[in-house]
Amino acid sequence: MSEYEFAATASDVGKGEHVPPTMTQKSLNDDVLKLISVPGPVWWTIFLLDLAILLVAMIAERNQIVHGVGVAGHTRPVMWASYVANFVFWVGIAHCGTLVSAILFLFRSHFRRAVYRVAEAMTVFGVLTAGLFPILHLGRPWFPYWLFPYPSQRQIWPNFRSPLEWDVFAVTTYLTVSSIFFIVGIIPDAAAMRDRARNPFMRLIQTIFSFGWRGSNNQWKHFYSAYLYFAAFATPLVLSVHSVVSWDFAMAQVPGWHSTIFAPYFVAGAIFSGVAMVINLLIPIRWGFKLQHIVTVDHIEKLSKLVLLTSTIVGYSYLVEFFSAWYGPSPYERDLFWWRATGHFAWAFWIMFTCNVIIPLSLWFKSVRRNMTVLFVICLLVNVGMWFERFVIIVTSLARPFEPMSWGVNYRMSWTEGAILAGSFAWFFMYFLIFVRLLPAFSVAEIKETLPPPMRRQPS
Amino acid sequence: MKRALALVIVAATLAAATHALSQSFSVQLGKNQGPKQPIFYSHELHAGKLGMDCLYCHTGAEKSPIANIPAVGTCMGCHKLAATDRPEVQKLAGYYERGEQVPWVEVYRLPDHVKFNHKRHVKAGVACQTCHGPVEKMPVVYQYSSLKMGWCVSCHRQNIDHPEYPAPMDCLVCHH
Amino acid sequence: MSDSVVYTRRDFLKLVGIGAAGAASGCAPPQAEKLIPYLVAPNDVLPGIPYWYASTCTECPAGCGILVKQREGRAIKIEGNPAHPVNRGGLCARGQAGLQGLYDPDRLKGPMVREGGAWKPVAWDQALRLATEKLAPARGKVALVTSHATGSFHALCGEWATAAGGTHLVYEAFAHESMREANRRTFGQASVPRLDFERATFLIAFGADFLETWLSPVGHARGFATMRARRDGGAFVAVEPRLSLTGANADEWIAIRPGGEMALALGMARTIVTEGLGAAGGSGAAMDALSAYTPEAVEQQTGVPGATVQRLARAFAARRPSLAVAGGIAAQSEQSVALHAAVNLLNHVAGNLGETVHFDRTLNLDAVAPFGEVQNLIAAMGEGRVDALVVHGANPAYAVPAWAGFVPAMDKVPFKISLSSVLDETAEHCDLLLPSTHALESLGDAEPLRGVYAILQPAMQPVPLFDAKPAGDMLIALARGAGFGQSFPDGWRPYLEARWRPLHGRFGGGRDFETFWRETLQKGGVWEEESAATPARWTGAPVFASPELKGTGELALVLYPSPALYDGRGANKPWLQELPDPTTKAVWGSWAEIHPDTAAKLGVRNGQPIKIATEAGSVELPAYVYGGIRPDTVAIPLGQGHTAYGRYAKGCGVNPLSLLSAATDAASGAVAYLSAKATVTVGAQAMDLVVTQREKIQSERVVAEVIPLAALAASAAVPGVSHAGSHDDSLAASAVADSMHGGNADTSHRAPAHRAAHAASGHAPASGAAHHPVHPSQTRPGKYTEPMARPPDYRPPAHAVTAFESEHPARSGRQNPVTEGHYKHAKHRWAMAIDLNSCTGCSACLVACHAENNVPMVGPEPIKRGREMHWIRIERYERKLDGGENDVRFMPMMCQHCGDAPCETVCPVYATYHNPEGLNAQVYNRCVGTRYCSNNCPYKVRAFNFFDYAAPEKPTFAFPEPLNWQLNPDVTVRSKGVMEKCTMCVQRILEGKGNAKDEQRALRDGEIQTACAQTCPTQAIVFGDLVDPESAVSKASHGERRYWVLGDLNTKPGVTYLKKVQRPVEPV
Repeated sequence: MSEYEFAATASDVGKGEHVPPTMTQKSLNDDVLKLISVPGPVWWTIFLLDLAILLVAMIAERNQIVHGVGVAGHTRPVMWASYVANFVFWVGIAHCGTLVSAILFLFRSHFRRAVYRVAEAMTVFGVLTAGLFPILHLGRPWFPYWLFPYPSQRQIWPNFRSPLEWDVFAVTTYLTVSSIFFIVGIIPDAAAMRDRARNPFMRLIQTIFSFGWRGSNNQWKHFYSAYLYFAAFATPLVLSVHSVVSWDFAMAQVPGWHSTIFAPYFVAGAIFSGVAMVINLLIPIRWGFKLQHIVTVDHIEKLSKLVLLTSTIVGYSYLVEFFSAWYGPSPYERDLFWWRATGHFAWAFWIMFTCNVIIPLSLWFKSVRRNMTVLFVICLLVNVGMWFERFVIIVTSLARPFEPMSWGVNYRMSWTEGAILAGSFAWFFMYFLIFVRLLPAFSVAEIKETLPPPMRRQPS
Repeated sequence: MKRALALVIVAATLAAATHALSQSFSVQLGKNQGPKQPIFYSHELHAGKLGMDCLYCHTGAEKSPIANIPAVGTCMGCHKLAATDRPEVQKLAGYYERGEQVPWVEVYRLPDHVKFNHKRHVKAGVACQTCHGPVEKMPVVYQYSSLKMGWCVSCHRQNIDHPEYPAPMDCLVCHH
Repeated sequence: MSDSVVYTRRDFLKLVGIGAAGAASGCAPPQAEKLIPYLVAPNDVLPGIPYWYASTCTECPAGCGILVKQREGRAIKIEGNPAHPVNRGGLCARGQAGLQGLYDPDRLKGPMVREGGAWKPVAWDQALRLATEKLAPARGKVALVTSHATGSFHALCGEWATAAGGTHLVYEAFAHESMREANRRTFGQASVPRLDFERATFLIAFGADFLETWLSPVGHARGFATMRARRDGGAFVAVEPRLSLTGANADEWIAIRPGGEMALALGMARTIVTEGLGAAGGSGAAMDALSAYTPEAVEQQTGVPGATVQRLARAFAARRPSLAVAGGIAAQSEQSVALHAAVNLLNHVAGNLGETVHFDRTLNLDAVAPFGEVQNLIAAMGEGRVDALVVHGANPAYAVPAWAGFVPAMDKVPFKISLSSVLDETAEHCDLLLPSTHALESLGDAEPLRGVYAILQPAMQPVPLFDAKPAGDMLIALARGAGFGQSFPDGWRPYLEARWRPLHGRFGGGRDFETFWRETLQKGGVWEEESAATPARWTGAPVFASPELKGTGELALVLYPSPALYDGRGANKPWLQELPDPTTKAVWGSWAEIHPDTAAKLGVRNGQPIKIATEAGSVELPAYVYGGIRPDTVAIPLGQGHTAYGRYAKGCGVNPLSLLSAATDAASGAVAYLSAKATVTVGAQAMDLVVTQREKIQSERVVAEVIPLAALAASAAVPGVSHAGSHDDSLAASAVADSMHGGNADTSHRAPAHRAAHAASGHAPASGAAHHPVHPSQTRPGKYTEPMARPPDYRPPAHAVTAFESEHPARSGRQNPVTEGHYKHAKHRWAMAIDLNSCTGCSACLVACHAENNVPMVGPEPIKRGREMHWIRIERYERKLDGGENDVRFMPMMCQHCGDAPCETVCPVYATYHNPEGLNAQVYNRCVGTRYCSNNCPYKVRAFNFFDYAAPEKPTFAFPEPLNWQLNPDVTVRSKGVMEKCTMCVQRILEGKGNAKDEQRALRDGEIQTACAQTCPTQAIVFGDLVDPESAVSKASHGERRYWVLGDLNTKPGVTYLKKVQRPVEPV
């Protein structure tokens, strides 16, 4: 029986859940594709607000380029801070998409069908956001191309020993693959759209995204094999990309960075924040567009279980770090972790620990997992916590270097950094808002697989 | 039709890229693009026809990192007597009597943040013409070499194993 | 030589134009630059070649010899003159910073006259006419006030004043008159003796900050370092209520009650006499004076235990020759003559007179007016007995304590002329400004020590932005105009030459005057190698009395001269304002030091405002909570709080002189800086306390290490061990440099000056301190503290190879150094050895580095956020401060040029890489500013250009015209967004290698010196080539005290540190 019959069961009655009519192929098409229409005042308000925030961030960035990185709060020894934290945060967000769409696809876990399109969009836009920060945290942001290996008259090449150089490859690869995966997945739906579209502009867009899809058997066959291939291709990236990002820190010998657990720890954290972000996106969408019957409570609950799992992994990593600091030989490491939990930045550490380890424990309760409002808030907190995790790892480790001489110079976030952080969210949602209006946010084609085939009425 | 268009676009892009790259490697600049000097001083005449030694005027070239521009006094050393009837020479004399310097316009512009040492190169037996071109044939001196890093490096690479004066490949030698 | 550099101002301007263009940075679009040649080429000047001019430093009365480096007509660097008897090559921070006085953007642009309240520029002839008009009628009622000037200028001033029928007053804030007075009374010599620190084996300082501002700090520091390089003795005890930089270098600190120094000195003397330890024995007269000072009495007067008094006395007498010095400004009380006399007596009974206290080459302070004369002048001015006042150099309006009422009296004078080159407080109260040229622009001479005739010569044409005249010429012109100048020759130069004729007779050795003069200019002066000592003997003790502090407050107020700003004349120089104070590490301001207990009582924390009130007035200052001060004492540095004197000085900090009420030394009339008691309360608001080092506890990390003398002795006593460190009879790393360089008579200013290593030689190692227990933790292996005794077949451990030995002799050019992590096959491995035992923390190296490497001074705001740009810093770690055994450690820290540098692997664009000669290179124009290198640097020695300090159009521009004229054209001025750091002065390395190539010879050890190593007064920093096993740095780096900072990180640093030696104070 298809999972959509659950939605109609009594279990939802009285939970304020909208009980959908039994879904047909037509109603599904209508429901999903109605999203793609001329946007209303609500959408425009949100969109303009978003652009306003983005504008402020751009002013701040211009300011920084003209006057120098000094307008941000960096000091010696804290030479990296919020910008790099944002980078890692957004790369992390970008992870869940591939996980949901690719890995769950390979595992044939069908609950992904309703949610993977949103997750994939989030992935692509997340990488697009993350990719900004390595550039704008530079002292001379007009020279980022020097990090790319190209033959120049200077006859010099980048330093392939530097983890930052590895980042260049990791992130660009991930962007390429995830966007391909995203675009390929859209093809059938885009074709359906194209056939329905009246507005010529829309038709043009959809024509481009449908790559001349006709829906013939042959095309379906190729489509699925290609899709499977891309899924298999993307899966290892989920692990590799964030491992490489984690090595920016693990490869340095700074106490608090120089640790072998970082790769798995970061990957888990990435999925953790990513899934939380998916939930944060889905809940408003299904509520706003009345799609509770497509993205059901069960889907969300399954995702929230993923959140719970990864949260425990992250929590374990936190504890193990402290254990190995205490158990290990390095006095620097020991001193740092003690300071991290009790020193100047203890508040950040405890925000991180509460949001990422303690609060998610409530997800052990089914009632919590199925309560959309509470779940939304929890996931929000998880994302706050995950941003602070990056902040704690970067700033506290740097603020406590080997030589006591440099202690006590503490980093303070400047308004420029604040504006640019807000701007990164504005940037991300700008893409997302356009996406929901331009392309099908849910995979019509795949959901249809779960519907009963359309039967002609019995002849009398 | 579409295909053809696409083909053209691709071809054009590639061509442009290749051109840009080759440009960035180029060491020759446009000929006779030298700036207009306050006095029409002809190297062709002095260094070429008269066969004066470069170091007669540019005394610093073998003693100092900077190959100096000769003082007006140096010019007047000869031109108190020689060719005093020529208008350009009279211009020069004018400067001298007014006690002004001749505001020569810079021809060779070294990029920022790089140090070049004339003495070391002259002592290593590099001929002036290697970098400055056939000055003795230039009525108006122009920047003969691009002075781009690639241009420096390629020459240093060739002479890296020079028996007597191995050319260093260390960045610090020029960038400090 | 000086005047052979002939080009007109015009040329000069243009030349500078080029230089500036050369130094300009950033990605400017290529534009047509004008190239301006000389009009007439001076025969010995070539663009791009530096020229050195010998002269004399005028930043303080010590009169060190200097060599000024000139490029394209601009003075760009000052270094100590190795041939000069005063400083022998070293130079302090203040001397280095003289350049910024020359290029001070706030120097007067020309003569100005006060009209109404405002200053109005006038032409020179007009100004001089005005001056002479006013001077002529004032004849007989003229006063001339100058700063400390010896030699011809002083003579000229004297004659001028006599001719004008007036008085000449030489004003110095720190005149040391009580010392001269005490010497007159006790030794019959009213002068400042030469103190032989080198020979002393036991040193005790009663409040004398001889490493900072007292008399001749650079000379003292050098002698002190030699003394500390001994294995036998060389112990140093500091007696002062507040632990100064000098005290921080002591083995033991006697935190004595303010004003108690005299009693302790007498108590020691008494013990020596009564126990018959002294050489001279107790002269009867002395004994009567001493009888009262029994140990018990001393304990009761000073709070120093009687046992300690006896212990010190015995040590002082046993370790002969010993030396006791007294009377820094901070200890100058109403009884300071008594203090000096007491210490003289102590030296006398211990038989040090003629041993370590000499009256042969005395410091020439004789002409400096005692404060009494200043008061006379004030009275005369107040009573209208002065009609015209001429001031040159001195700034009494700032430096004379308010109670003396100099300013109001001065305002009563009808007409006042200032010859100062900058608008300081005194000039502000004048009516006419006739700016005189800076010392580096003027010709003159000086006699800093008796028998030493030094030269001041212009290192450059006067800076054309400032229309100034030499003071000597002006004085003569004024005299002539005013009609009393008949006796003078028609200019300053002839006057000077006339003065040198007799010297030509004495030193000329038959050469004609011109030759003699030229050679003198080249050498920097003439002097006999040894001066005859004038006989000095004990003539009798004055009455001894301890000073009483006035006031109702509960804390004694200690005002001490700032090591960087001296009496305040340094305050207009950014280099000195941004020089972290050696004690507090504070910059750009004032503070008040209080003991943690006092702070706890008040409930204030570090940096919070406190209010210090005396009967005379009150100031608000940020508190610096400091263990190195007595709980019953509060200390404030002098030198800040200017109300004029240029943009950098004005309004920075507080001038604590306003806290003093009328008090002078009973016997000598000197200003009693230590005379008031203060009440300290919590303040409302004060300026911020901006410090560069917040944490002064080193915790259990291998940073600044020490080793007890006993451990060394033990190691040296290990039988059958012959190792490279056996040079280590003397602990001084750089003593080796001399034992090597004693041979070749290379007197070029680059060669490390000849130091008295001989003083150490001939002392058997392992003598002294045999009983001192070695703490096990200090001999435990693995902590870089075990004495390194090396068997003959010793090979350094693998992790030490790159730091100590190059692996292969020759390098094939094919290897691209950029891709070569280790500089295998290197011809050189540039490295440093830094001897923590010699480093006194004086911070001269910082300013030398700033000057050499165009380091921008960023001001207080960025430094609050830890954004100072210094390439080298002096780290201060305090292990034990509360009296008794003292453990404060200073450690110069710059880029360690690691063999395996963490910064190199992480740079994505190869902006930093390892060069084949062991340097950790930083290529500014390849840097994109990821700042990853700084994150990964364990030493945190990389400075990042957060803003554009090099762009004139930016508010953060650090070199306002003409400060940018000082920029070194051989070094890039870094632009916004790039990382920078110590390069081991690679420009000097390249220059040295070039010179060697031109002369077809191998490099000589010591020929190349970094700026910091060159200027170090104690030669604590040795630079050289580790590939050469005979080089000074190789030997020092193999010394038994060697270790690497954070060595357990295995970064293989190129900078090797030598542990500081902890000495016992007890006699053997």
